[in-house]
Amino acid sequence: MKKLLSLALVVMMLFGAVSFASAEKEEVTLVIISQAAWNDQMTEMVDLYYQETGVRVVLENYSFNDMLNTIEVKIGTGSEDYDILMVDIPLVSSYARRGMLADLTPYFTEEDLAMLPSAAVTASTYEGKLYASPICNSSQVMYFNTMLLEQAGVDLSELQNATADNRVTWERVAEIAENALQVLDPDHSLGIIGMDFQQVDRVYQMNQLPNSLGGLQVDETGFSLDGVLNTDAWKTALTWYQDMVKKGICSRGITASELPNYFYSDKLLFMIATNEMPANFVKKEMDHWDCMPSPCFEGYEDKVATPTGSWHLGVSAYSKHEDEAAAFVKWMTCTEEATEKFYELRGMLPVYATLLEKLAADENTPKNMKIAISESQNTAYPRALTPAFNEYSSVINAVWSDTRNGEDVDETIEWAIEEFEAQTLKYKN
Amino acid sequence: MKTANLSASAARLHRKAMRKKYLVRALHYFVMLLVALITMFPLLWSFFASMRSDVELYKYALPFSWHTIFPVEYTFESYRVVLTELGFPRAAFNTLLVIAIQIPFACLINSIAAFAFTTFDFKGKNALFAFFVVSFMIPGEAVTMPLYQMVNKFGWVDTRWALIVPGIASGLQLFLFRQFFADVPSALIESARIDGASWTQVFFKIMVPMCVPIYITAALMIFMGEWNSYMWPLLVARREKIRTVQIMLAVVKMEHITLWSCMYAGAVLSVLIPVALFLPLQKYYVEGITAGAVKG
Amino acid sequence: MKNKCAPYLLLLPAFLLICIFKIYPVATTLQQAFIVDGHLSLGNYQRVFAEKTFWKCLEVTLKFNIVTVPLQIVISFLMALLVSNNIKGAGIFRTIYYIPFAVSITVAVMVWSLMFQYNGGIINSFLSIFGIPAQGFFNDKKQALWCIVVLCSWKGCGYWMMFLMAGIKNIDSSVYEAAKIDGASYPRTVWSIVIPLMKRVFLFVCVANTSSNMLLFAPMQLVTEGGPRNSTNVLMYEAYKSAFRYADMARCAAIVSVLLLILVAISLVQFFALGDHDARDAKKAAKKAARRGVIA
Repeated sequence: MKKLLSLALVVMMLFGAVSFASAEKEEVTLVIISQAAWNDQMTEMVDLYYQETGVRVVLENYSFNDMLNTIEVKIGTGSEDYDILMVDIPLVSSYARRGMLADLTPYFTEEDLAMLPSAAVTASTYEGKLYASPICNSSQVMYFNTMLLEQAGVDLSELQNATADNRVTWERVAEIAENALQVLDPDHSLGIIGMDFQQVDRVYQMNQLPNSLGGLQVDETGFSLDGVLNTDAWKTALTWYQDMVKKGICSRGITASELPNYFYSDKLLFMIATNEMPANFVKKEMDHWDCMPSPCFEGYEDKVATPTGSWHLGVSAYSKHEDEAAAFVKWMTCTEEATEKFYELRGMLPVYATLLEKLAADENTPKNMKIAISESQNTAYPRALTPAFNEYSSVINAVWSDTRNGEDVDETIEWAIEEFEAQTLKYKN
Repeated sequence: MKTANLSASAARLHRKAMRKKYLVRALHYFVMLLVALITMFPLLWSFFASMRSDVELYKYALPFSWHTIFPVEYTFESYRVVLTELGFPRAAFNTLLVIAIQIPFACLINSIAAFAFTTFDFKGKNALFAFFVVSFMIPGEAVTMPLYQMVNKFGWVDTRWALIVPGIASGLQLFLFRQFFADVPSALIESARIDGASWTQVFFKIMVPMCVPIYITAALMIFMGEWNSYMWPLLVARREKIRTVQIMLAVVKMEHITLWSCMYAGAVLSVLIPVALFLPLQKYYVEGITAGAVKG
Repeated sequence: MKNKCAPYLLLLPAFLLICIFKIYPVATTLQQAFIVDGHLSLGNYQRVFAEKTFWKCLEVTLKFNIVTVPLQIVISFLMALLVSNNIKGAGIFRTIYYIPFAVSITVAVMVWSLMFQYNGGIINSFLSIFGIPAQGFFNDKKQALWCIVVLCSWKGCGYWMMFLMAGIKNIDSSVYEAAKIDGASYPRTVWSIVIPLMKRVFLFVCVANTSSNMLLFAPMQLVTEGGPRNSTNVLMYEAYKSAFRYADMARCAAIVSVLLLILVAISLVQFFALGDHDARDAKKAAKKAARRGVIA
């Protein structure tokens, strides 16, 4: 019996060895760690690339959280099975610092870089070297449910005519929402939400509130929140948001992944969301919506700050096909053909300059896209520049969710400053 | 006259006792039903949720009404999507295959080790036992990275070996087997030895048949562990050919738009399979371990 | 019984596999706790112990376990008693109680978080009928941890019930008959006969339940993210975040080692309290050795 057992173990080991040997092939195949939500569009893109170059790019799809874990484990332990990574921009410096990304500087010429927004290039540069290249920009737009608002007797022209130079204020949106709720759902029995953020509790969208009041993301060292959070801008923003939740205008307890469902189901009046949202509206047969630029705070009309930046592509430092991988990254992010194709498929604001100009000039570009283009060029506010972005977002996310849950604002701020201090200690020595 | 009175009072007493018995029985069923309702409610709710569109699910959440739970329009669309487009049958087969290989190896290896602990006295017994007990307290997340590195060196990534081999030996199962093996009367083993039975015979002819419920319990532990494990298969079983159920379900979950009804449908299907397996096995619990021994 | 090499041979496969796939990787991880900038140091522990968060997490972890472990064991035992007799339909209820364990933790967390939702969750919808204002549940500092206790108990009790049921079934039916003849009431029988006879099973369930709850963090990761205001932040979640979010393996290793020490300490107490004979032997041996040491 024991012999049998040891035999079985040996057989297992052998099988493992065989499958390893057969995995090596002549033809170059690149593997990309990609996000599941983009599967359909990415599949078309890699097919197109195969037709043109004969290089196969294989997708390995993950949800956002799984992708972060996978990159930590696989690239962190030096696996050679992956060539290209989809990287959320704030993580570039963290990955680059740990030697997980290959240097892309040699592959991008000055002219190439000139076609990409300088903010995105700066964000993907670490210690003077380029580590990633941007695919798109998730600038935010305010969507609203025209059917519900009309039912509530709201005059839509005020909202529909809002422009970047003539924004509706947050205070006004709150007022409209509150009045509309009184008509539509006076006893809150229908659970209609007045206004909300698609990525509620997340740094990415929520920080636009303090930013639009002149608040900063993080101090210039990148390792402290002292003098950032304990300022009037942050306190005002947090208090204002908390009041919105207390009044029942903003929701409580609903997670970021669920909120769009409330909009499709006619349970949400105003929603700040990413610019490619209309593609989902079509899928969910939601046809009574319109959009306008992000609101501003009264008296801070010139301070409007909108979230910017999105997914980038980088090459794994352990890739055995670095040149081929870099070529794909360059094609995806820095050619008119690929960026235009991706825009057609995904409907998400591109960053490639030529295409952007074309879209801005085109009469037929949809309203949400026009707004996004203008925001990305005029009010885009860069994310926190810190190698400790994960620690930062974990602390600030907690600040937003605690505020939403009714914790005392001053205490929350105090806690966050201390917590971030403790978590960044390791970077300081 | 007296006897009649006596028998009448006896009958009254008997009737009272019977009434009490029925009352206890009724109460027993009532409590069982209540607990069953509490356990089943969240699942029934997801079952109904799996049969409605995402939009409808949110539309009727408030105010509380019949349609908060029961769909307006029953649709099996999500089941169709899960079963055909998302490849549930293939994933279920993959998972079952891994489990089918793992269970016999795991049961054998862990139970013979437990057998060593209950039958023999040897040097370092307590230390070794402590070693096994501590081994199951190690959180999986703390070993993920080095284990991945090792499995990658073996060339096991994206093969079934990575799913099967690391999970075979388990201190927890060894502990379970040992606790129940210890209940088997040692006199039984001694007399078998005196009759000339070898240790292999003692194990397979006495221990295994007497501890069938424990083997079933251990098999169920392995089954559920593998069936529901997520992080490890996500790392080592990416290829569609070997993808497991939970990974397939995760594909359904996207970053911003979550297909809720498909999630529920997948969840319902993924619960049905283990339940279908447990249903016929639970009758083994009716008979205890030593019951068989005493009769035999 | 004595036998020179048989026990070691029986233990070998399990021992080797656990060494390769558990001990070696965890050692690789844990050693990082003692290294700062390539030098041997306790700096990581100093750093972790200086954090307020660490102590808060320790408090939450202990609070969670002190409530959850006894609660789950008591409920599981009552459930096991409820379905361990052979009345009609008990088998179906047994299966029903077991079903929640077949649900993966991801799905369980999702279903409960939707049910517990502040805005439009079914529980708040239901409460609103009676005019009870909406409760925060997962979003309330005072309720979140207890909601997780409910979720875990819902999912876990049926599982632990299985082991206890196997233990109850293991007791010879003549024991019950004897108790009945003595006129002992049912609770009395359970308390003074059934429970003492099931010590080994209880020991297994206690140790296994404690370690599984101490290492649990999926609900915290998926719903509360440790909040509100760290009220559900357990040590294991902090360790997970260190490893997979902050790329800070040293901190993860330091926290995991603290967790392991706590677990070992708790299970030692459980081993002594539940009178496992091996542990008692060890204690006696230790006492004897000590006495001998004193005499010598």
